Amino acid sequence: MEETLKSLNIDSGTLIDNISAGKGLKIFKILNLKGETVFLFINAPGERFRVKDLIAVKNCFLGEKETLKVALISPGATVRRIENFELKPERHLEIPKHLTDLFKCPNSKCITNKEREPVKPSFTVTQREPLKLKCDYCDRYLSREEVEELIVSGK
Amino acid sequence: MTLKGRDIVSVFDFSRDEIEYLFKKAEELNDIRRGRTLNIATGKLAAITFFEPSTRTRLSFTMAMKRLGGDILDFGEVERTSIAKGETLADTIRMIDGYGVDLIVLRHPSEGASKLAAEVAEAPVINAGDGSREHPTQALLDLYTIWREYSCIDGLNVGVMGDLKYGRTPSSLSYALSMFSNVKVYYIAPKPLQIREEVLSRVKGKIEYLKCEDLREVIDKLDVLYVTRIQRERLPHPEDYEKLKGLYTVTPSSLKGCKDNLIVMHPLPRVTELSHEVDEMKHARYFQQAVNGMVIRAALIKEILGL
Ligand SMILES: [Zn+2]
Repeated sequence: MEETLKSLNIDSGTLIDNISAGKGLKIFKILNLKGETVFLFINAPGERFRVKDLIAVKNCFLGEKETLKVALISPGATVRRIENFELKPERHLEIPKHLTDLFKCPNSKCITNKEREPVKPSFTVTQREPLKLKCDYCDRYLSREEVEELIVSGK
Repeated sequence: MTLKGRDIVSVFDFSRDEIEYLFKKAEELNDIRRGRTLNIATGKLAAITFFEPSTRTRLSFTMAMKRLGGDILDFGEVERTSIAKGETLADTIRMIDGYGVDLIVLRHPSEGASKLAAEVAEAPVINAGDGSREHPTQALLDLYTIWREYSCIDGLNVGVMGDLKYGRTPSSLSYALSMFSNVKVYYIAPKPLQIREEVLSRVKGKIEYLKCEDLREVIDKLDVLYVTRIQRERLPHPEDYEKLKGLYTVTPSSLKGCKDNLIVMHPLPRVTELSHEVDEMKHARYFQQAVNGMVIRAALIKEILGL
């Protein structure tokens, strides 16, 4: 991988690896990486003859929220820092028990969707496998697929 | 055991022990049941803050507080008065809280509104209904009515009939029943109005349940029949209403074969789903339900205020 980074001339930045095949473009879109040099690899060879997507981006580092969004869209993905063409140790993307202000509640009657109300959408993980979340205000349940849709549609 | 200062946002804010404790405390308020006014809550002030109309619930809380000897500050229908014009719920609640009230009773159309109110207010908040989500004191009074009849909730067979999908009573009641043991719930409704999966997922493993479409199939099993209204506009094909109306109307003949001690409940007001002939039967409990509601709310207020 380091060889590839050299050939791409990414001395510093971020590598998002092991993205489930087909999700690379979605992640690329939500991270809004405009203005940077971004490489998106689709259907790259992965382990055990499986394919994966990858994103390498120059001079850009993911914040906590962005990292969480990546984990929610592709649970197996890994985020690594690039320094001097070297990959720093993998960061495990554990989804915390509580998620706040990452995406809106899809329930239009939920108090978190009321205009100007000083309250942020917040959810609690009620199940890990498969992932299930519950809105802390209106109790609406969400599957990981619904969360992915909410993040991708920018809601 | 103390409920002092507690916010009541959801029926899950109570433990089973607390619910039974409240029932016992409510029995001690027999004078209130007989129409007397006590002076337990003298000098205490409850803000009745309703953002949508609900005459019965408002009346019940008002009476409960007054019968305890306390006072109320009723903001009318807040939305129509100037105090909330363009103001956020959080600001309205902070303003009311700033008056130093001892308790805030809130009804609001947004789901989760009472949780937000509880977060911003110093005073304890009682959810008197928020959207289609929860109405914990309704569930409490329903359970209390059942408990007064059978002296326990465990092991009962409860039929819930009508619009189980959009109504807030069936879900709140299901959650409340799930705190007890060996309760079996029969959900009796036309398929498009059956109980929502998300409700079932929260009670799964705690109560046994069975869905069916016809009361006659299960009437002989029930200890309690809880009737709710079906609204024409909720049906995917409103023209089906006339056909379904008959099947989901409780009359003396639809109760044929029922247990001798069956009780019939209804949150009221009713339209046609519960015939007036049932009023004369020994099974009818819906008018007592309203009185029980005032008494259990009085008990709850008394405990929250630590009196
Ligand atoms: Zn919500």
